[in-house]
Amino acid sequence: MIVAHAAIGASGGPGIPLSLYWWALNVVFPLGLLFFVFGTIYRISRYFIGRRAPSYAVAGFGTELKEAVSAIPTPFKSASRHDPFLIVETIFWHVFMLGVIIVVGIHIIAWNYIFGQIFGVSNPLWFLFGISTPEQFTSAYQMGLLGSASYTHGGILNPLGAWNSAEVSTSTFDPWGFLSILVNGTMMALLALAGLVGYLVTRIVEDVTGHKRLSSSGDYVFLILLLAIIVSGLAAMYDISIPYLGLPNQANWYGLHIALVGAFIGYVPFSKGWHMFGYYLGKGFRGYSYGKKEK
Amino acid sequence: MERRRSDCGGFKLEKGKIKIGRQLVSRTLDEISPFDVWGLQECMRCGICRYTCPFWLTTEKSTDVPAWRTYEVNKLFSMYYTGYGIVARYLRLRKLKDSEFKQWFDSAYNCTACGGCTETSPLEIPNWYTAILLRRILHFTGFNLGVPEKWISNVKETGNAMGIIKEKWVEIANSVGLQIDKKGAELLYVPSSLEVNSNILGQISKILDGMNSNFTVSSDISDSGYYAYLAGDFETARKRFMNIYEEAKKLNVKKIIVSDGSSYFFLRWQGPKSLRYKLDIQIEHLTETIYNAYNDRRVKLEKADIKDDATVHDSEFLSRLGGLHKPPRELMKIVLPSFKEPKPDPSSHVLFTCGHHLEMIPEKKEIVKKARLYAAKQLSNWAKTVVTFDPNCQLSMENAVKDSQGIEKSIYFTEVLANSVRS
Ligand code: SF4
Repeated sequence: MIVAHAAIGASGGPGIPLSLYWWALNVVFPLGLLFFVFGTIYRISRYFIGRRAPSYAVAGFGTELKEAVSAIPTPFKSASRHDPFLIVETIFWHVFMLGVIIVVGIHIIAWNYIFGQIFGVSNPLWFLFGISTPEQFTSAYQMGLLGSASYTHGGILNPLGAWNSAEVSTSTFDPWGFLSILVNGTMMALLALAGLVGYLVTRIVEDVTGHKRLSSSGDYVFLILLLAIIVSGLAAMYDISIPYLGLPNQANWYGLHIALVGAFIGYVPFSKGWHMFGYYLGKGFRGYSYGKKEK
Repeated sequence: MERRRSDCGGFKLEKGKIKIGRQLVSRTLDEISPFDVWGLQECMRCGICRYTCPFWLTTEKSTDVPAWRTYEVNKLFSMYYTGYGIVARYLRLRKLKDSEFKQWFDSAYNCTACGGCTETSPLEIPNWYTAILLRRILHFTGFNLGVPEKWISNVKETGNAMGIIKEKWVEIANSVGLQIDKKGAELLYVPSSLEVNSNILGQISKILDGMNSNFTVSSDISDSGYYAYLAGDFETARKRFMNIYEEAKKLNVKKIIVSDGSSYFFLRWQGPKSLRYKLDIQIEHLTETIYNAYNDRRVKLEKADIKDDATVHDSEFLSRLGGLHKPPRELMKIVLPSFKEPKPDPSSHVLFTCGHHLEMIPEKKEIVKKARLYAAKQLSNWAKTVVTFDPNCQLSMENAVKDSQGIEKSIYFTEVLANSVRS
């Protein structure tokens, strides 16, 4: 990891204070992963440590799986009939998710570079290039319009130009064509931001008018972390300058972004966000304890 | 009351704060399975479950959202069984206020444990169970309601939640021709306390005779014991469940037959789980026994003498929680001359619960009446005559008729089948 950071050039170097980028990549992010692994083990083991009675399976895995998939529409049907507000909330959330999923695509090239440096392999993520997305719609090099000479597109993506050379080494690819006008990092980050802000607002309205009273402070920590991740990502991409944040500014934005992602990953197993993994498991779980499954 | 409080390992009310000791939490949660822990912890409190619940639809109170009870039980669980919960408890970031405890008291019996909310929940969180866990705390701390406590003491003293003593039970069973303690019988019929009357037992006797079945009842078992469970006294219920399994072994029967949907659920699922007992005898609901015999051509079914359009109120414990979907409705399809089948399937989240066992609790009279209206109105869309499969449902539907809530007649399924089953 030292190699990666040195190559990117955000190193403090002898006598120079280490940058936020260095801390994020070498300390916070790995710690986040460690917390995630520990948290996952802890969380899963709690189901078994906390339990007092065994549960005997009454349905096979196939039935559970079928159940898991077929039962998904039920809550949506129920909500759509009774609580349009909840549907608005859900729509906002999924707008956010859509944005996030596509935004992941712009990170492929960076991860490719970082992992390549760490493991000393060139293009370790070559198989993901097909779903890589450009960082903004003017990234014509990815639209194949300007040819391979257009790689010097101005350091929007990277701190100190290092990821440009990574892009060079991945050669030209054009997975989205003209769709890149929409399917690009900037648009999708803004979409995710809009979805998240919309979700937050509906959530706050619901909690303030409060017949549900089901939110906890942890929910807001989770949402605010997500918000900060998007904002810092956008700020890093566009090198938004804030005085006194330290130099090089963009590298520190990246540092903040990576640190927040690390914190988020580490927080997931300790939060309600864990349900993103538990959802499908849970949908089919019930038959292990009682009833439900037709004999 | 005081004695129980100190027995249970600590419950103190101090300056507006509730102190619940580890021992009490441990006893309250003494039978949770990995699935239950999962359910407590994974509930993301989206609140969708509430739309299924007629109690929430009636009060619209946050403390009647099914997930709220799960949240409260999870709070208790995590205060003693999770790292951060323990730390938060020591730092006093997590505590129970007496106002919160008061809400437990109000909310624990605004639920029939029908499982509808579990069906609706995106994560199938067992909110029905956490309502019973809250009752368990009320029971331990001496704050339980009077009638549920009476069920418990009745089960303890007489083995029957309604307090029907052995002599009376044997007398009724004899009067309707049920064979008692017969060695070599194949089936043991176990009634539930609301079924112990000559009317229903007479019909059961007729049905079992009509099937030519070799059955018996036990002079010691006049109730399946689940009322104690629903009242939060798992220990008493467990004893009762175990008595029944042991009695079946003693009589060397092959199956236990019940006619109450709730008995089916508790003897088939919750009892074995609660006892950590691997069930080694078959439990059947009477409708299942008849349906299987009909499919094997061992019995014939004649049309019942019911002229009106009739529909069914599926027993929540039989279908949604019990997993037995087909037999009740299929039988009604065959025997009712004008059967109007409800559109949703028997375990659908769309079907509302009746007032079930809460019908017997005076403190809940008002809310139960309002909540019951949802089920009664819904059923009246299909027909004005309703057939039930659980005596609690029957009681609730009879009350709906009395309260003119849209249905005109409620019939227990044994009445429908008594003159229809022929060998
Ligand atoms: S189990 Fe039934 S009655 Fe209880 S909270 Fe859920 S839907 Fe309501």
